[in-house]
Parts: sequence; structure tokens; C-alpha cells
Amino acid sequence: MVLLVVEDEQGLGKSLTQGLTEAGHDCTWVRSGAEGLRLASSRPFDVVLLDLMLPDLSGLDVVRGLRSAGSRTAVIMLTALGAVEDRVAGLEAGADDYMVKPFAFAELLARLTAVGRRALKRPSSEVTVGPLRLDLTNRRVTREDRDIDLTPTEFSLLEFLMRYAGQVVTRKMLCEHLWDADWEGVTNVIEVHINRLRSKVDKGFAEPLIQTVRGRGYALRTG
Amino acid sequence: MPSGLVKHAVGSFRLRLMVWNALGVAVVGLATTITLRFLLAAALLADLDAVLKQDAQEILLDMQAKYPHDSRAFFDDLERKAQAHELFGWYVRLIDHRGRQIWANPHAPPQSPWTPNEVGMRVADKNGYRVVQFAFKGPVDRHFTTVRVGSSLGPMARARARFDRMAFLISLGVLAVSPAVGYWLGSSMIRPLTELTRRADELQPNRLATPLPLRGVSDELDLLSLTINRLLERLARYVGERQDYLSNAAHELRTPLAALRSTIEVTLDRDRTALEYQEVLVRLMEESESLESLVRQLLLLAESESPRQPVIRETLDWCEIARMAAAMFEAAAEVKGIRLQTQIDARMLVQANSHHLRQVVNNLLDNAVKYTPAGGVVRMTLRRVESPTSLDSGHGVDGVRDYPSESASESRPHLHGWGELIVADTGIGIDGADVPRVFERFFRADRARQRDAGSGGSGLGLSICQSIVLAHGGTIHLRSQLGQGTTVTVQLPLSVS
Repeated sequence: MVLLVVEDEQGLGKSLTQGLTEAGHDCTWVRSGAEGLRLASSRPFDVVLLDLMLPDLSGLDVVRGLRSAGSRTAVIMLTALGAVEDRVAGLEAGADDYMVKPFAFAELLARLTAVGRRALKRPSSEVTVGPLRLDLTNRRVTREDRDIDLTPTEFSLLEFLMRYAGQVVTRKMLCEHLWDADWEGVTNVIEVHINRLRSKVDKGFAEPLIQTVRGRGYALRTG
Repeated sequence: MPSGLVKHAVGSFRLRLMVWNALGVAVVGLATTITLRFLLAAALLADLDAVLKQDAQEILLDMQAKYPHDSRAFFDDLERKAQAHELFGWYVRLIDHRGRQIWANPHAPPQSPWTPNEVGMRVADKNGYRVVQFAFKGPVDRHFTTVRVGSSLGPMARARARFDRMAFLISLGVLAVSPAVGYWLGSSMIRPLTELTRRADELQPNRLATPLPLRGVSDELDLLSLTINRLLERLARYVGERQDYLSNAAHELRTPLAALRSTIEVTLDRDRTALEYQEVLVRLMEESESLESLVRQLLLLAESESPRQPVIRETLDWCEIARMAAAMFEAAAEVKGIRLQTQIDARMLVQANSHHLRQVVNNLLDNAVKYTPAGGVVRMTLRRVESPTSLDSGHGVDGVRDYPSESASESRPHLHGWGELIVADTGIGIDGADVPRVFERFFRADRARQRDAGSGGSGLGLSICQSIVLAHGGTIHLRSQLGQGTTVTVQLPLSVS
């Protein structure tokens, strides 16, 4: 994807650009709102990553400027303001997504995938990853044509992992997907579910598909 | 407050008091004078009448005794009496039955019209005289004789005029003095008020503890000072708690920061293998996550307590949220060997911030699962109750605050009933001495053990629950027995069903 990063903070801008480039994206980084607005209006980008609190223009102004100029480029807001009100304000200004700092880089990559997918508008009732096949209509899961019996929670968990196959999925993302809520506490409520899912999906197969990425989350192997 | 405004306000109060005082004195004085004048006149007249009647009676008796056989002596007596009372314009006139004058003393005024032979006594004012007259049969030929005794009204009028003069002078004096008295009264009343205003104006948020002076006379002004002092106390406590909270928060943030820093320094001390670096980075990641979690909780607490921005509320099914929370912790409980039992009503609507309400339920379940050993039971009940009940049974603590909070008392009784969430565990419990402190921020019952156990909560969980519940107009209560378990009860007003 061709990405524009508008971020005035040196450290975050640098690591974002590095990470996104290493993830295979074509990434341009500017540090001011005016510069960002100018570039985003003149060159085609797939997604703009936009900081909310910029020294000159506010991120909200940049989105409004873009939208009023008729641009439909996807915009993900990056901000330290996490209250519901701030989220609503960001989305109302025309942003497609809203991420609260600090965020997991894996989550950013996942959201980029989601925003890109939204642009393609490809509805799918069946997801296939390597030997795994997930049928959403019949809520059926098979590995190498062998049926796997899953609880609704496990099914939902696997679906999410498969949608982001090959990427790291954080506990927070899974929590929000499963229960609609981020869990601020310490107890790892996801781990147990993952372990159960793993025991069902990988049992009797030589190659484990669900991997734990230490300190970051989980990933489903594609191959 | 600009001091000009203070001066102006005080000045106008004193001026008003002065004017009102003068006006009051004038009205009361005038009314008193008029009443006194009237009463005095009435008393003087009654006195005069009584004297005249008595004179008339005496003359009658005298006349019956001496007239006509000893009329000379009788008339001489009358003459002497009239001379003695000449100063008062006193006179006697005797009239026969045909209206002819029998006798009158020399200074008597001319005879006024006469009604023939009227029996009994009559009092009347005639040409500036007060006259008592009565007629009786005899003493000559059974004919009527009329006796008239009169006295000039002049002396009385002079007495009244004297009274008026004196009353006028006294009134003038009082009127001249009363504004000054009003001014003095106003000043002496305002002095403590001015002092109060000055002291209140000097108060600063960081110097709230200096109380306003009491004069010890327990009047309304003292009551005002006392009320303000109590408010100041509450504010000072509130500000103090805020300051403690801020410094505690800074200290709490230091712990994960210290870990980050030392990990980085030790790692940089010498060359490491790629694998070692990776290992360190993962550890740094975990440390930064705990830092992040703490910051999130601090923000959540601030958000739930902020009086400024209205927190977005929507109509939510509390039961659905409770079921979700149960699903979330069910697996974690099972792995620990704890039975998680739930008894949740079908549907119960509340007006709430979704994120906040979830945090309450999740926090309570998390605590219960965390502090219950294997083989234990965690029970979550969510049901409808008629009214919020007081639950204090001696071992518990209510999560209320003694400084002003927008919620607490405002919403009971509630129209649509109340929902009650009870999370009870058979866990390690909390020491009786620690129970009253569980809602304090950063309070951890038995810090060391928790840190070691790695279950290290932030010590904010229950404060967050309390803040959110209070902000939603509800109540929260915790009861615990060491070694027996802990029960937390949350009650929230329900919304239309």
C-alpha cells in the first residue's frame, strides 16, 4: 500500500516509517498538518495515518480539508486522546478509523489491512488459510477436510486469526473482537481460550498453526 | 472579587440600613405621638367631666339644704367657690323652669340656649366651655330648676399645645439622631461581614486550611462562617486527596519505568547475542505494557470522575454485559479450578457509559477470580430489586465519599427500580482493618504478596468501580472476612424497560 504518515513526534514517526516500510508498504512521512494536507490532496495514497495533535493544523482540520476537497482516501487517526467523545469527533470529521496511542504496531498493520479490505469491499462467507477452511454461513471449520468442533468463542477467535493470517494479533484486538470491550486488567483472559483452540486445531497434526508471539500476541501461520 | 465591588456592596447595605432605620423611627414616633395626644385629651376631658359632675352634685345638695330660706349664704358660698376657680373659667348658673336665670356668678359667660326642664345630667361643649347641666324638681313649688356648671376648655387646650410642642421637639431630636444610630448599627453589623468577605477573598486553593474566624456569639454570621469553614474543610480534604493521588500516580509510574531503565542499561553494558537482545526486547515490551495499563487505568479514573465533560451514556442491557463478562472470565476461572456460577436476569436496562460499566463488572470478576484459590466458587448474581438497601452489617464498607459528589443522594427512590449485581467469592478475603480502605486509590491489601505473586493489580480497580458507580447514581458496597471470602454489591438505577 502507498501510505502517508503525518506525525510530528520524531520517535514515533521514525519507528512507524521503518516498520511500515519493512512490512512492504511504500511510506512517506511528513511532520506538519499543512504539508500532509498538501501531499494528500496532490498525490494518490491508499491510507493516510494522521496524528491528531499537530503543531500547525489539527488532525481534525486536515481530515475536514481532505474531505471537503472531495478526497476519499482512507484516514486512520492516531491520537493520545482516547475518550469516547474524542473518537466520535474524529470519526465525524471524516476519519475511517481511530487508534489511541500507545498502540500495538501489529494492530496498526491489522487495521491497515481492514481499511484496505473495506476499500475493496469483498464480502466473504468462507475463509481459507493453508489447510484451514472456515465456513461462516454454516459455522463449520475443517483442517485438511477433517471437521473440528469449536465452541462459539473459539470459532470467533479462529475467524479473527484467519482474517489476519500471517500477522500478529494482539490480546486487546481479540478481546475487542470477542467481547466488544478492551480489558484494562492484568488477567490474561484470552490465553486460556487460545490454548483450548490450539489443542483442537493442532491436535493430531505435526505442524502447529497457532503461534504465540511473546510479548505481542498470537499469529496464524499461513503455510 | 474586585475590592471596589465589595466596598460598593457594603456601602449600599449600610446606607439602606440607615434609611430604613430613620424611616422606621419616624413612623413609629409619629404614630406614638398621635396616639398619646389623643389619649391625653381624652383623659383630661374625663377628669374635667368628673370634677364638674361632682361640683354639680355638691351644689344640688347645698341648694336643697339652704334654698330659698338661706339663699344669701348659699349664693355667697357659690360666689366664693367661683372666685377660687376663676383661673379655670369655672362658673355656675341656676335657671328656673321658665328659662330665666335665678343666679350666676359675675364671670359666667352669657347664657346659652336652654332646653326646658330636661331631667338628668348632660355634658356638652358650649362656646369654648365644658358644661354639665342637670334639672331637678324643687326645691321651690315642685318646679324644675336647672343647675349648670361649666369650665373653660382653654386650660386643656393650652396643656395640649404644650404637649404638642414638646412632642415635636423630642421627635425632631430623635429623627436627627436616628440616621446616625442606623449608620452605627449598620457599621457594627457589617464589620464582621466585611471581615468575613476580606478573609474569604484572601483564600487560595493551596491555603484552604485557614478557617474563617468565629466571634463566638453563635449568631447567623457565625453560622455563615461555620458553614463556609466546613465547606473549606471538605475542599481542603478534596484538594489534599487530589495531591496525594497525583504524587501516588507519579510514584506508581516510576516502578515500571525503573524496570525499563535498568533492563536497558544492563543490556547495553556489554555485547549480547541477537537472541539475548530479542529476549530483552520482549521483556521491555512487557514492562511497557504494564506501564500502558497503569496509564489507561489512571485515565479511566479521571474520565469517570471528570465533572466537566458529560460522559456519553446510552441505554444498555446490563445483563448482556454481565453475561459477556462471565464468558470472558469463565475459561480463566476453569483453568484455575474455580467454579464460576452465574444467576443473571433476562434483561435489565440502564443508562450508562458502555465502556465504564463493562470495566466495573470485569474488575469485580477479575478480583474474585484472582483472589480465590483452586476449589473455590465465584458467584455472580444480577437481579432486579425494589429499592437500594443498606447492606452494612458491621464487616463492610460503603463506597461513598464525604465530599460533594454529583450522585449519591440525587436519584433515590428511582422510578424504574434498581438492579443489583453481587459478586461473591470464597477467596482469601481482606483483613478487617483493611476493609474500610479498599476504595482508596492505590490501596492494596497486602502489597508484598501481590507483587510477588505477579498478579500485581494497580490498586485502582475498586476505586475505578466506585467512581463509575457513583457517577452513574448507584451504590457500591464491599463485605469481606479474612479467609472466608469477599462480596461486592453494586446497585444501579434502572432505566425504562
